[in-house]
Parts: sequence; C-alpha cells; structure tokens
Amino acid sequence: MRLGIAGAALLVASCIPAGAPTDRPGARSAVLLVAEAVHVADVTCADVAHAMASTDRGKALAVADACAHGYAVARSSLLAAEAAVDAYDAGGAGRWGCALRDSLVGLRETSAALELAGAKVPAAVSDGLSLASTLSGLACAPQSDAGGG
Amino acid sequence: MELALQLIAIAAKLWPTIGDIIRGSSHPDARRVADILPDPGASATVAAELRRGTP
Repeated sequence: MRLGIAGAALLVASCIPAGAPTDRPGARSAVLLVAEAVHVADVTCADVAHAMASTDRGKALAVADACAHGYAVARSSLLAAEAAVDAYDAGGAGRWGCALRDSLVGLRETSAALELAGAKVPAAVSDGLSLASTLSGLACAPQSDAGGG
Repeated sequence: MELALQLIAIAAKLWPTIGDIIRGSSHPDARRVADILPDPGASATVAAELRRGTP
C-alpha cells in the first residue's frame, strides 16, 4: 500500500514536464496522493505516540498534539485544494496549487514531529512532501510579476 | 406495450440509484479527501486518549 503510494507519487511527478501546467485529472491525482501521504504520516505518528505513552506520557502527548495540529492544517488545505479542482474550469485552476502548497505546512509539521520523536519518516510521506512541493511550485504562480513594477 | 412503458417508468425511477452505484465503483471522482482523511485523525484520537488517561 505504502509502496504503491510512493510509486504513484513518483509516476505522477515524473510525468509532469518542468514548467508545464497541470490539467484537472493531474491536479486531482496530486491532491489525493498528498492526502494519502498525510494519512500515512498521521497513522505513523499515532502509532509512535501510542508506543511512547508507556515510558513518557508527556512526550507522547506532545508528539500526538503536534501531529494532530499538522494533520488539521493539511486536511483543511487539501479540502480547499479539492474544492478548487472541482471548480477547475470556474477559476479553480488558479487556486488548487496554492491550497496544495498550504497543505505542505501541515505535512511538514507532522513529519518534523516524527523526526523529533526519533521515528523514521515513511517514504510515502517524503514522496508526498516532494510531490506537493514540486507541483505547488508549478501551479501556484507568484503574484509579483503581475504588477509590472 | 403497456408493460414496456411500466418498465421504462421503473428504470427512470431507479436511475439515480443506478447512477450512484456506477459512480461509486468506477467514477474517477469517487475518492474524496474526506474519505482518506477522517476528522478527527489518528493522532488527535491518541492525544484525546492520553488526556483522558486511557492507554
């Protein structure tokens, strides 16, 4: 399952030429793949916190809280990204990439909490981070060039 | 003829259900972020358990 996610993420990323805009199916696949990565990160973190609870309850709670916060941030951003993909032809094409970028904040937070807890970050999570970073860089264009000086 | 019309009427009534079944099994939009990411997530559930004092 996790290898499948990683493989699919790599496949999606490798099929997108640098600088190319992403179409709606590609955008939807990317949002769902990053959601899978967030899910894997959340479940892994819950397992780590659960195992840690018997030796250090305070630290376990801190880890679980950090992961839960990251999850909430990523989840709400991915729901927004999905809504933008649903409305792709009605302006969503210009919004989903920025919402995907916002989900990176949450996924990074969860990933960092795992590393701080001494756990190995699953490959599916690293791949999700990489994919979201690459695609949001392509699909969330900076506004700075719109003003013209 | 009358039987055929009745069958068409029944099929028309059932069509939304049939459509749901088709979409659920093969429509590319079938999977949603909310299906993958429940609220609360696993970490939030563990955090709540730890606060309650349950293992």
